[in-house]
Amino acid sequence: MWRLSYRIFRAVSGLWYWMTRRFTGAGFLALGTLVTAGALGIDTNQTLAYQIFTFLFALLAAAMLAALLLRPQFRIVRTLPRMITAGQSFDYRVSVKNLGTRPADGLALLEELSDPRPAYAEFRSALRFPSYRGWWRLALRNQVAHIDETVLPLLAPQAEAEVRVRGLAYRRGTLQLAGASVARADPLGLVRGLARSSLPDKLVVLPRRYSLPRLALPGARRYQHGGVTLASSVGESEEFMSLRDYRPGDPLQRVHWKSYARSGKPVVKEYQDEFFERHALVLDTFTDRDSAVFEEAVSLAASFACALDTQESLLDLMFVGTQSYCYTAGRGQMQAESLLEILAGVRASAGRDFLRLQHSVLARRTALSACILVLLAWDEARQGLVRALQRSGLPLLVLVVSERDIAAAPAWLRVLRPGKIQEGLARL
Amino acid sequence: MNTPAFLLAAAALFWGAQTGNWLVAAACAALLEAPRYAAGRWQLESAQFNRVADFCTVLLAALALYFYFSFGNPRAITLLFQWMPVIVLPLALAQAWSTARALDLSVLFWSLRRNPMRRAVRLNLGYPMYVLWLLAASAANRQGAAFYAGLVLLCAWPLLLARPRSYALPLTAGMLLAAAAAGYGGQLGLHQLQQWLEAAAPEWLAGGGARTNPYRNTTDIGSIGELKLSQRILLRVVADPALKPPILLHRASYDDYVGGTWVARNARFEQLAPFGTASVWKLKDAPGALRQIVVYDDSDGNPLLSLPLNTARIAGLAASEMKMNPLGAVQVEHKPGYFSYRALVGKSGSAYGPPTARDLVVPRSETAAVSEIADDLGLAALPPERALSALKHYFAERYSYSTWQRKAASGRTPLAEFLLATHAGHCEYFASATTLLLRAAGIPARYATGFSVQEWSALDQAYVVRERHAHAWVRAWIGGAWRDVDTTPPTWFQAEAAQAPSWSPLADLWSWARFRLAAWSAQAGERGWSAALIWLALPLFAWLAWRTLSGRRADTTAGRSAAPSRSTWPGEDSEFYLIERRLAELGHARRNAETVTEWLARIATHTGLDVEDLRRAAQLHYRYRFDPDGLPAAQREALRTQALNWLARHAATAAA
Repeated sequence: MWRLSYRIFRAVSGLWYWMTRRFTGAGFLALGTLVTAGALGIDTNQTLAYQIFTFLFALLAAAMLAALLLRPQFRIVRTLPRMITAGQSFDYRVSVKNLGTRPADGLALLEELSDPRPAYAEFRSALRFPSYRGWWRLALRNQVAHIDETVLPLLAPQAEAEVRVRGLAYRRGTLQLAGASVARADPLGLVRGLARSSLPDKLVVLPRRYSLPRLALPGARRYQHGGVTLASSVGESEEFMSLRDYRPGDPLQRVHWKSYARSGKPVVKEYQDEFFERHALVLDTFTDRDSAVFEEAVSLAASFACALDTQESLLDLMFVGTQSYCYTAGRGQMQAESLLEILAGVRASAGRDFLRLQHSVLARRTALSACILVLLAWDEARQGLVRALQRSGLPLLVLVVSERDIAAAPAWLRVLRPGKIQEGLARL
Repeated sequence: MNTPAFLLAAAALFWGAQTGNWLVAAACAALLEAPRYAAGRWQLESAQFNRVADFCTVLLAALALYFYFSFGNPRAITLLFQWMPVIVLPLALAQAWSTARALDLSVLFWSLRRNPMRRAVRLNLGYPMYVLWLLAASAANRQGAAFYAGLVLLCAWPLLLARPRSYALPLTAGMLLAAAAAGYGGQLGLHQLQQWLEAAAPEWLAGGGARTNPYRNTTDIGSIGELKLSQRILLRVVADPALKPPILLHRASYDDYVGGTWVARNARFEQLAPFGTASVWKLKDAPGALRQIVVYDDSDGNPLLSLPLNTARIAGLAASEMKMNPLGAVQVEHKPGYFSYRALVGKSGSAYGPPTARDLVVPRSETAAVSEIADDLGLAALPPERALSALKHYFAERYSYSTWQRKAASGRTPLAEFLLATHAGHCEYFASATTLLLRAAGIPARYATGFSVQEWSALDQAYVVRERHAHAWVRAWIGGAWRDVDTTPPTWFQAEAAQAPSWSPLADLWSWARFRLAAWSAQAGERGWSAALIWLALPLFAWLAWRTLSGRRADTTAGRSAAPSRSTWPGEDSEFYLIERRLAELGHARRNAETVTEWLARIATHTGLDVEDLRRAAQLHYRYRFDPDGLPAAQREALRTQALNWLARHAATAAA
């Protein structure tokens, strides 16, 4: 039954998608009337609705044939922004050129996004009962963004028009654009012929972000191994401080050969040790599915990633996906936007051990000045991590996103509710 | 409304022409189109729209129930569709007379009010209303080409107005004409297909006992397998206690047997004149006392009355006309739905004609089997009464009732197989065989169809006649009068009853409730209560309108004066704007934030158009627009002439 209903739902939603692209508003009305008239006119002795049925059938058939024969030719060029933000509307420019030899109107620009229909495994695991409503919900959940159909002006032969295409991003992730089509209505204005251009493209949708209150993170500067090398440059261009005598163990590259030649004894270059603030932003990804709580946690992490001043400090974003990840931003490392791009692609890691995150954080413990933990629950494993960090004397800001109240929560623990994150943050 | 001016009015009037409700149609048309000329509007919120939509839903449900109980399906469905645009009219008027340009889809769907869609979808009711008027007009079922012609014209109107202008008009018009022609052929074919299917399908499939065709009766003789008939109650009969069941109620007789089908030849219906008051019709003179049978008929769309033999008068029937054919079928024209009448039965003497030569013909295909039996029984030598009793005896002794048939042996007709081999069949076999055997004995006989009334219902306090009580028997001319002869073994009734499904008491209860309500509503109609109900509904409607509209009048006049008047700027009347518009019409619209010079350069590179004179005009235009000293009169004139010259040249290009 699951397999059959999956096939049926897939076919029905595929048909619906096809219809939304192929029919104009008038065409949809004609199609709806055709079906109603067909049902009403089933007995030709009772009503004349069968005459409406045959006429509309002939009209739609003629329109379809014309749309097929009079297929237009266009060139489409898209200019996309670098990234957009979930929950916000966006727009971009598209220029369309009429390659045909006749003027064309009744045109619309249709974007082709990646197929949001759930795979069978997802359908089977996410639903308790195979219903179309459930299917629809899953498809909506997979949809990254919606892009409006854009009406194009009349285009003379070889003329080009530039239009602004508007859309709305529903959730973070990557919006895959497979192609774009110019739809041209048939002479009756019922059915559209499509000129499709394969224009594969990607648009990163960043997580939505909250405005944070002014944060003064506690903690001191720490010695950063590698000094400014880590911070401002690549390769061997290091911040030179002085020369000193060679000590056994110094690398050969650091020998200052000119001084060696002048003085006759090995002299090495010495570099300045750097002391920065370095904060860790730890995101808990240990949940079964991509729930609202997880999305809020990602948004929260994104808000911190943007808000922290990475001019004078470093920020390590740590989480566990298929492996343990740590990305560093600030002082010539990655930009904050890059962290947002990474957060746009974070998925929940189901069935993994929380200890991996704990090990990963504790391993970097010595370099850190402070740590922000964004947690999804307040269970024994998470409490263990917090205790371990507290024992090492690291200043902590612990945020838990939870739909329920947490019994016996310590006073320093900040519990934020999904949907009311901004209010919770205002109390920080 | 987003429809072209007067399209909705035309659609409403078309509906009026088809249904005959001219007054209603004219009022609706006026109300729908008036907002184009009236300035007043109401400021309605979605809550008010929801209330109006709910009112329409309640109206729809109430009318659906009323139609169902009064007329039954499928008449109720067509009637409901016929009145659908009027039912939805309050909502359409609410949109037309309000400041809202379209309605949120949640107004129409309850589920969307609870779970709104991610992106709100708005719907302008203009075109849906237009489609509803057309569908409703089709439900009036007025035969003839006028409907199709009107339909094509009403569809062509918005299609031609909204067509993409880049195609030539003859192309669109040609496609419309081709579609109209193909659609016309298609509808003729579809209608003929249904006629053919109805003729070819067995009687029980095409409507069974509910509807009787007085011209031909396709029997199930020769059908193999089990015969199934429905439990549906078609008639309720209250009979004079002197009339004992089974009573045979006759609908139609046929005189010619052609391979499994009985046909009525030369059965032209003749008009009967009403007798005395309009609700009494006389079929024949009947001396002496008359016995009464009251029939409540619930078989949809059936024009034939079910009457016992020797019916002299029909009373209590509000029919506009009544006709009778020489074979005794009585056809009436009455309002659709449930109806009732009293049949007054005389002693003897037929209301219709004596037998003809055709009533003695045995078809050649059946002659062998029929004469074999007739010779065995020596029918030809017996006087009519004796021959009849011999036949009755013969069938009662040797034949049994069965709704199951096996395949006939090769070279034999199904009727011959019944007579010579199986000796088992249903009423159509017995009636057909008896008719032909009587004819072989020299007795004029016809094949008669109708119902056998036997089942008493305590619930209805009347006899009920179900679809499976449809019966066939013989009308034989004996002793100068027609007489009903039924040779089917009486066990047929029990055999049929045994097939009733277990849920049939529930279905009967439902049928009883429907019947009581229909009877009540017919009574109410007679006493003028329906009109009273409409008068009661009007204040209710007025109250809803008041609740919805009071205090919501939009101050459109104030809004208009408060709207910022368009500011004027120097050079606003420059003719260069006309050039810009013409170029946009030609498909070279200026982009946002593109300067005129850039734009002209782009046109020149893409199309090879000579834009030199346009550049000169553009320079003058710029000076006219932005030079603080303005443009000297001579140069202003030059701008005008240059622009107009260009326009004159390029109007010709566009037309070409």
